[in-house]
Amino acid sequence: MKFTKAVISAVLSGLMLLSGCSAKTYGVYTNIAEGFTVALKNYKTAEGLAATQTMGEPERAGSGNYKSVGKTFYGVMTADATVVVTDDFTDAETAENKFVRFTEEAEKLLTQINASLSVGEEQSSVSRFNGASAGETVEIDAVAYEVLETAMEMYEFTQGYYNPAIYYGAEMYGFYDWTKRPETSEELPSDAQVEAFRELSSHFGEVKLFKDEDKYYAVKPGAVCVRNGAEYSMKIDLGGIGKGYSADKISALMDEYGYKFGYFDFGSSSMICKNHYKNGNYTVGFRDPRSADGRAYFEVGVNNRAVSTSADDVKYYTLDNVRYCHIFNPVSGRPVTGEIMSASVIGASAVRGDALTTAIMAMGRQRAVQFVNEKITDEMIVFCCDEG
Amino acid sequence: MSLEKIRQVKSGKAFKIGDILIYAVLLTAVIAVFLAVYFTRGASPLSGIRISFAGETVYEYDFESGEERLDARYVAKLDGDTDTINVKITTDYGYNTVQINKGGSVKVTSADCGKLDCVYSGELKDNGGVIYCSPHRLKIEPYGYDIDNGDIIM
Repeated sequence: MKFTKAVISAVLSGLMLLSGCSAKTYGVYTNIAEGFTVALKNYKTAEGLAATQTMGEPERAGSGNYKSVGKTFYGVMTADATVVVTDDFTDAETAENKFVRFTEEAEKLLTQINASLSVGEEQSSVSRFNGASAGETVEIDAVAYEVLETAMEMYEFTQGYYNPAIYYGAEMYGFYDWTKRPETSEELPSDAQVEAFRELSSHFGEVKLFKDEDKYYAVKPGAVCVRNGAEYSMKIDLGGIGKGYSADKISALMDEYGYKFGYFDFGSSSMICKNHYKNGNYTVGFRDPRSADGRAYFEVGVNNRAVSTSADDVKYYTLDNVRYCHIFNPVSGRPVTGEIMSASVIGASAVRGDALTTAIMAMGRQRAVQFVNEKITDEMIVFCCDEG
Repeated sequence: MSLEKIRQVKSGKAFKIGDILIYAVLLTAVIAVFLAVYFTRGASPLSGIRISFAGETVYEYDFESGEERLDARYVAKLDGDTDTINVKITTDYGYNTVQINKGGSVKVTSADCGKLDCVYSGELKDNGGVIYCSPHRLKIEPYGYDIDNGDIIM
């Protein structure tokens, strides 16, 4: 009898597990006051953040022949971007022509941003900055100037936890060339290497920007790092906030064309949600970073906001049960190792949201709770932690 | 425990009626959750599929009429049988082979895109989703697919 009961209990437990109820629980931290759901049973709302943020009322489409149309732009900053708009197609030809004009302009904009910020394109502003000597003045374009200006503001605002100058760290850990990632713990960079490049990246606040007539310039910090007889000057990667910058520009273009309904998704990490033509709000779900089935652990209604997400399950490897992900803690010079598993920001600006999600991931739970309570006044924040 | 008590336990039934009822209720609840998840997704059976490369339609199949259209610059028909159609889509980015089951499903059977997300996506049987090969800029989209249903996962 006991055996039979045990078998039945095991079967039921198995079915419960398949239904999404795993034994391990994760903490969810948010400052959103209402309109959200913690969607998985193994995620529990945790105490810590003051519930201060609410979403405004959305707009819905009135009468008309509303239809959704979309276009994907491939290979922009190593990701794909998709724009979807819903418009009144009562006059189909006019609506179609308007969409074609809109997507042509959007493509031009994305191409221009990619050409400026790409670390792979030799002639991009970022590549020219990276290739310059320490202390050299480099002419950059207006896009790179604007993004660098925002990067420096966010570096200050996050007390250095957002820092685009961790380039060498990401390179040493194999995140620029996956074939060069360490395959054993012994192959990980040494403490001395990590510290040397961390120190170099800590000079990011010394970058100087200025304009002269119609031209834009950046002055590279004079700091260098010498390793094995070679001298390294600072390198930056603005890709982390470049997607958000692009999303903000596309959002402005949607406004210019009068598109009130639709969304723009850049690589599933930066997004603009206008209104959904039927539902008003978009139901935005943040993916469970500890499951491969794509289910959301948290859902929230969003309209007319930018949404950014960073998570440690996007590009990572595991050595001796330690997860090394592509997001770096600039203060330690090492990849974040899983205390905060995913962080999301909903606010007015995607470029700011991108920097904040990266910084929150790097801060770890305790510092992130303090940072959000003390410094965040306008954004909705959600992050989840492995509580151990 | 007295011998009398042991005799009582031994002569008792393996399951009390209460136990059986509790297990039955739990089992029914779990099965109901599964059925709800799998059968209330709001998707319809496939009526047709459209394959596009970089936004341009290169192949279409209508399951109701059995009609197909292909762009011979990119699409070559491979051997099939009475139930299936196999096509190979080749572009500058690489190739994907796609199998269309005339009964109403489609899947990518092979590709040289590296990660093979498109192959691992499995079979598309309704109009609730798409198969996407990002490295090859290839998308397999059902007729009637709602590109903006209001739900976004990121």
